[in-house]
Amino acid sequence: MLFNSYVFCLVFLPLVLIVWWLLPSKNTRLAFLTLASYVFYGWWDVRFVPLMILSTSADYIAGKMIHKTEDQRRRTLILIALLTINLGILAVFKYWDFIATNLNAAAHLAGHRPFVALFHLVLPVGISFYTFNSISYTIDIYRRRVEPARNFLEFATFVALFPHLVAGPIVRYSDLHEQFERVHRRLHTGEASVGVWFFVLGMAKKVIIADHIAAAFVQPLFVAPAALKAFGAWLAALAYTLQIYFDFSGYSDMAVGLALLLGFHFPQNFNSPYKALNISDFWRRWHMSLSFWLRDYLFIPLGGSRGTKLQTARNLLITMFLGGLWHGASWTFVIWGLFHGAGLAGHAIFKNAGLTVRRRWLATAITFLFVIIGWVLFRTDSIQSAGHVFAAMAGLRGVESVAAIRVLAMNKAMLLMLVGTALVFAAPNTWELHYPRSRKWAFVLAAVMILCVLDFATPSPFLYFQF
Amino acid sequence: MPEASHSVPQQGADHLLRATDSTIDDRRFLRTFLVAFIAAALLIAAINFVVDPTDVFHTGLFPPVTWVDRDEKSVFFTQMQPKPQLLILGSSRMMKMNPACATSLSGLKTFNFAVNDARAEDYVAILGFVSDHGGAPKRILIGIDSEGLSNAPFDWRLANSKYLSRYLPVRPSKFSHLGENLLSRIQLAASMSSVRHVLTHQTETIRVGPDGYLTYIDLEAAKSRGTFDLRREIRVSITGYATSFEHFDGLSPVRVAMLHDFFTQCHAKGIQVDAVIPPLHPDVLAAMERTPVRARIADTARMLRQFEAEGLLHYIDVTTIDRFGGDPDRFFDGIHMEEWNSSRILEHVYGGRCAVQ
Repeated sequence: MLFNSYVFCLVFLPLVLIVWWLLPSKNTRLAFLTLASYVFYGWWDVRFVPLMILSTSADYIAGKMIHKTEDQRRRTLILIALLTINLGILAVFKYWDFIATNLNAAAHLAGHRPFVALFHLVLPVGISFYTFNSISYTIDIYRRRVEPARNFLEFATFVALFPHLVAGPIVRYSDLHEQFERVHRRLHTGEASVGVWFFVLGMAKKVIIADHIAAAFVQPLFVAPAALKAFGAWLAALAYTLQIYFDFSGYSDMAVGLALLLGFHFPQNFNSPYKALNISDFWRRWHMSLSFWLRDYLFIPLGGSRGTKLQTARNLLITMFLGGLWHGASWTFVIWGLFHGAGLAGHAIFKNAGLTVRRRWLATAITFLFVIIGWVLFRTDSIQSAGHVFAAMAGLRGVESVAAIRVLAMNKAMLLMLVGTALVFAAPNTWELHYPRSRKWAFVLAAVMILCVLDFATPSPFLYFQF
Repeated sequence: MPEASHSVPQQGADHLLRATDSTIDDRRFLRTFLVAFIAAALLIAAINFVVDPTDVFHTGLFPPVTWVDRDEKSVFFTQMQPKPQLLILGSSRMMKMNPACATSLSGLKTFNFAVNDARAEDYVAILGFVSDHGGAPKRILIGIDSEGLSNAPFDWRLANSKYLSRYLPVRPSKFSHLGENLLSRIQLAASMSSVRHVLTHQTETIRVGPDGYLTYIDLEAAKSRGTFDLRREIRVSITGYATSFEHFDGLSPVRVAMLHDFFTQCHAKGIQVDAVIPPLHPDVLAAMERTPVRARIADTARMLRQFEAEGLLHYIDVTTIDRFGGDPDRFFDGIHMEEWNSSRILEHVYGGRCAVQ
């Protein structure tokens, strides 16, 4: 079920909110919320619900077992077993065909026949997100940072909670367990008001800005990378840069809004990332719940920045390589991750050498350019396609005729590109607003919401659903 | 227990905590938002229901301004006597195949049953409808679009069709398109034009004859006046057409099976089937070099040749205009041919010279 669908906005959400706020006891409400989240998830493919329940059960049992024992060796063994189960499920569904294809290609080069079978499995939506949620829970118990969930119901609600289930933010148990303890009995009108603000603004970012930019520029231009020339290539790259921000941050805002409507607070996932002054700053502002997850559970255990400069660079490259691979089983994601890893390592080296850009606008522009180049790798489906786009951006494929440029420039969505660019550089983000509760703003938000609903006829999944 | 780890820095969370403090305006804000949203939604839904621009609810108070081609052609087919012996099937790209020309070439009475955005299930539904309404065609000329074999869901126009939807292999629920029919921008725009049509007595822009033949009244008039800008239309087609192929990585096995089933049924009924892939304008074809469009057209041709090898149909390659002596200026845009090119295809398929020029 998509947030931007009739069934979600007009049937599922009102029903869930009404029942949630009517049910009397905490456990009944959590049970209902978990069940509703399974319905939400099963709407895509009901076969994946048992997989999620299996993963949830394994994590819950392992968490309890780790907490019970004081034997460090036994704790480590349980953790390794649990990580093997979680990452094994992820590997089979997400990476098996990628690994098999590459092994077979290597075998072919060596003159052998393909020897690994492809499974052609459908990737369960959101598997990367809920797997990371669960892994952080078990590791935090192992590190004695959180107590295990008091009962299975609480843990199942934490994993399945529909606002964050399929595309984050990646929520840690430490973010939610206290909130489960003190679930409001009655609707908290302050939270609900801010929830409405977040949900409507997130929906507008996605439906009004991201989807229209995608339909006007991203899809038509990226469909034939080999045919792109300079103007089209830069326009495509910039359009995708805006699309992915408004799409994903829109989703995150909606998730935060939905959580508030249920009385929960989710962590911030975006903090005006394109205003970043360097690439390190960018990763503190973009998909923050993933960046901080990678920092806490990968970069720091690898040694972080405690060793030599070379070791730090190595740790950054490994972390971002795996971060890239987390996004998808494709060489373009791997290279995108390494590109950012190299950027982070380079930034660390320059910073240590005292070489930083003083002028803020120049620092932001350089960072933005770096990010745009990265998004080309992220968007294209092969290294060859990315090469075509880069060649066109570099001017190696020539420039379009004036007539062709006029057709692109006169597209109505160009106005959205300008508005979007102004918003990412000059406007406060959703988390920096004051959420006025006047009647005037209620009308404005209702009008924006209606405009969004009128666009639901063309279903458009969120970009991060594929991860 | 040590302090719990937080997923991200707390500034945002602290701001949110302060912002969510209840104020005396919260209840009024929430109430106003809900009432305004629900009222606007109900108003729009009521307009779309009453005007019913695509004839979904059959209220009949306003004329359906959007062309309900599947139903209109179904009605013409039931009225046609005697029933046609040759059917022309396909999408809008086959609509300029003139039945009179086909009749003069094949000697068989012809009906053009091409429908907008035809997909595999349309052919199955049309064959079922034709058989149930006294039709027993001897021949079928079908134009298969690659995009009609994608994974896209059932077209709502087929699902809403009063006559054809019952022949769908899987009938969608009555409520499956309720949201789109009541609360979509497209439907609201259609309702507005329907009302405008009634108020201003607007003239038609398209007309369908009783034999299913389509006339683009405005476009054809502009063509004959010499004011039609074909180059511009082709440029628009290139981006629009390419977009419809994004993420179209291969023909849908479900639709290919459906099409195979359709050809098998035709074979069992003794209907001789000639199949073509309607040509694209050469400029579009050139722009689609190394894109999924060319790859999917090649897949479709391969599929049709395979069906031909099974004895189910006769495949005629007209994917490029040089194969049938077409003219690049005889197009309405990058994908829709004029009657002149359509007639050359009919001549290429059936032989001879078309009596209608």
